[in-house]
Amino acid sequence: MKQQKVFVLDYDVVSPLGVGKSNVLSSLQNNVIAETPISRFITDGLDNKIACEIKEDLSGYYKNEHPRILKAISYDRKLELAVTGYYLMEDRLKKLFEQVAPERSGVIMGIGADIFSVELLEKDIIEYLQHSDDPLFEIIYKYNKTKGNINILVNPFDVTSIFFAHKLKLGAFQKSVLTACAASTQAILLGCEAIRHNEADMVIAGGTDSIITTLSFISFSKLGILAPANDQIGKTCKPFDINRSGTIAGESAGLCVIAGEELVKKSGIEPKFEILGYGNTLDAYKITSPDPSGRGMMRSVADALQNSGVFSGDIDYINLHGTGTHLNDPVELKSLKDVFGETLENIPVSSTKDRHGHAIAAAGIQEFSILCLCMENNFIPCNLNLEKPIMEQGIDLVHSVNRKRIINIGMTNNFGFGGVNTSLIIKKL
Amino acid sequence: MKRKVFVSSCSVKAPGISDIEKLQTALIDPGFDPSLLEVMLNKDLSGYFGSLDLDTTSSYYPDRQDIKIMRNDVVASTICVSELLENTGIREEDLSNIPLFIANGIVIEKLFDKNDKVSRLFFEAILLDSTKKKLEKLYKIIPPLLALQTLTNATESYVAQYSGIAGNNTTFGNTSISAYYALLEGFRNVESGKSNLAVIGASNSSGEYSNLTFRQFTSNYSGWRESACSVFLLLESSESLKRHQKKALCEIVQLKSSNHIPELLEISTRKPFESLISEISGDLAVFSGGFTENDYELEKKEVKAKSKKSYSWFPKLGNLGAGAILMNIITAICLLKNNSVTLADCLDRDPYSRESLVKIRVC
Repeated sequence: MKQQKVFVLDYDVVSPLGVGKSNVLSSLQNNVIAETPISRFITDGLDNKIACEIKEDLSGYYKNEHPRILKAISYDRKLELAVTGYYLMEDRLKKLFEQVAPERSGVIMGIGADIFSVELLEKDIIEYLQHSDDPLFEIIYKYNKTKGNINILVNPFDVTSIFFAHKLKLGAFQKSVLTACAASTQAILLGCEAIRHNEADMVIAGGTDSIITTLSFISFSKLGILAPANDQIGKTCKPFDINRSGTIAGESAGLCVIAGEELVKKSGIEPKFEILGYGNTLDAYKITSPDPSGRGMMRSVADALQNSGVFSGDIDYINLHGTGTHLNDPVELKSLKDVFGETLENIPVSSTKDRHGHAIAAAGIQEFSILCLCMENNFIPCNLNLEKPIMEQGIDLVHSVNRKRIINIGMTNNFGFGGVNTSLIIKKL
Repeated sequence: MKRKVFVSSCSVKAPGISDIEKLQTALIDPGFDPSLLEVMLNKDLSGYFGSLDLDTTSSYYPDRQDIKIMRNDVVASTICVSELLENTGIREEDLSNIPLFIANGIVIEKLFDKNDKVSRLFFEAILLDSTKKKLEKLYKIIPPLLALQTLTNATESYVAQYSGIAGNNTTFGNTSISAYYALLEGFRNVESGKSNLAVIGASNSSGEYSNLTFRQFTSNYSGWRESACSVFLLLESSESLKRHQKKALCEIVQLKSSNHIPELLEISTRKPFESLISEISGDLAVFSGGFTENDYELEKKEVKAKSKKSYSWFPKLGNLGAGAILMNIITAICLLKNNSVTLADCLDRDPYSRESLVKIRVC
């Protein structure tokens, strides 16, 4: 049976490079690096004090929201970013979903781990410690007094998907994907699967995450994946450089609307991209590091090529996962080389994490949006901090300057914690 | 062409239930006591929580190095999948293509309390006047692998590491409908012929964090009862069953979920299983959903009105979160084994009142 084609109708992103795709495009073209000293919480006493934060005050986007949602947003940055993404696209989303029955439309979001912002509850904790053995339990209990399906503190991961469903009447499903750095890329491919298997006609796929809270930031620092403090702001994260020392904490939310060809034909909506294919594999190696053989990544990239029905030489640009960590970068390049062979030297590849940081569960949708922007504007962002590449032979790692190039077919890869590998290939229409 | 999808093997861990044999005993033994722990939820109200008691001598028990960063539900899932794949005849080289779809419930069992060491140090840090000293101390006391302990796809990652399964995959979370979504993905992989086999499963913790997350979703949270669990199924096509010379436990004949818009600001006022109750056609309905006695009674009333025979684990184990609907499937298989009646409806509803139905025919 012939598979239904799936198209991208619209997309947008809330990123440290800007809120909204035109701002992100401008930052990419002007080589902006969003890295700054952390302003979200006080960092005195920590060695590492930098991250890629979204600096813009986002409250203007959602100021008219229900007070309960506003209160929840004030304690949950992930939810705040997702809600901002909704309002950024509200009119466009409403117009698109008007054309689909609620039971034929769904939402699937990649969501990051739930580590509450201890800095926001500090005063309460100090007060409750005077008389309670379990102060956090009592604090959460105090905040969550009102009955309803949204809490002020501690919500199920599904709260973001349910928010979108509630706003846009999306009844077919509301799913949350929890596969760390690959989560929002998987959300897109699972959205495609839902359309191909007739579970829905139109789907919002995306993700939201932030690791810029005290506990998350310390946890990731202690895990050894964040680059230590650097004398030069903007030079911390160096994907594929011999002197790379880790990634940089980031945050983001992004959404894309996908639909099947039957709906596209019927509605007359002009899609922007076609999702040609994807690969999705596991390393089955170790939670702490990627499989050095790169087998899982290779299978993901190879499956994406095979399912897309394109030759490796048809790919015009690859947006890499490129975290800047010691272990991930070389395995990623090795896998690409093993799959693409000699073709790889003619395909420009780059990672943009040195510019916007690592948004973990939202990394995929942020980089998917960047790929779409690059394809629409025929340009390739360079690895800004790449001075001494770990591999030079047989690969076109774009560095020093951005390039002009027509990109008809592009690929994005996300290779996440726990060895989850996801690759996606799209075609410009 | 669409292919039939069968469950060929299953594995389970829940309080008082270490394997399928124990589950069968628990189903019929009136004296089954999973020793749920009573915890005070506020001054006057308590809840009952069941945790996993794992056999540390099991040959599948993970390495000491890994145990340090594995939650209990993750350990249980790792053992479950190793047991699931026992004697299946699956060749090692085929494992890399087997899909793995997982549902993960609540990943945190307990918040900090003053009685454990890390918590005590954490609170000591918070009480320090100087921010600098506070953060220095927090940095010192936070375990280096905390991020991995709370990693939302830890179950998937460890199951893959210990079993070698490395195909198409995801982890859905974290209310009970996520297991239905995981099952649906696995089912599609086999039904469409993309794969001959798929492993699907769920991993769930229980405890005060779960109670704090969901208590406001119900009108009255007295009679709260929930348990941790780990439940896994192996799905196979008939071709695969033949190749492995195996008999199926059941065929999955229907998968359906409700498609109403969930409430966000209010508690749902929908009757339990309002959307799917009319679909019940089997002779047995195994159901799950509520966290409380009151919710369970309402569900029971609806299901009993429609099905000749019904079963719920609630009185014994309480809510099983992400593992619920898969547990219902295994329960239906056990209850209908060697029975002339073979069709069962496995129902679940999550805290947002999203309903799911898996209809099975026991082989």
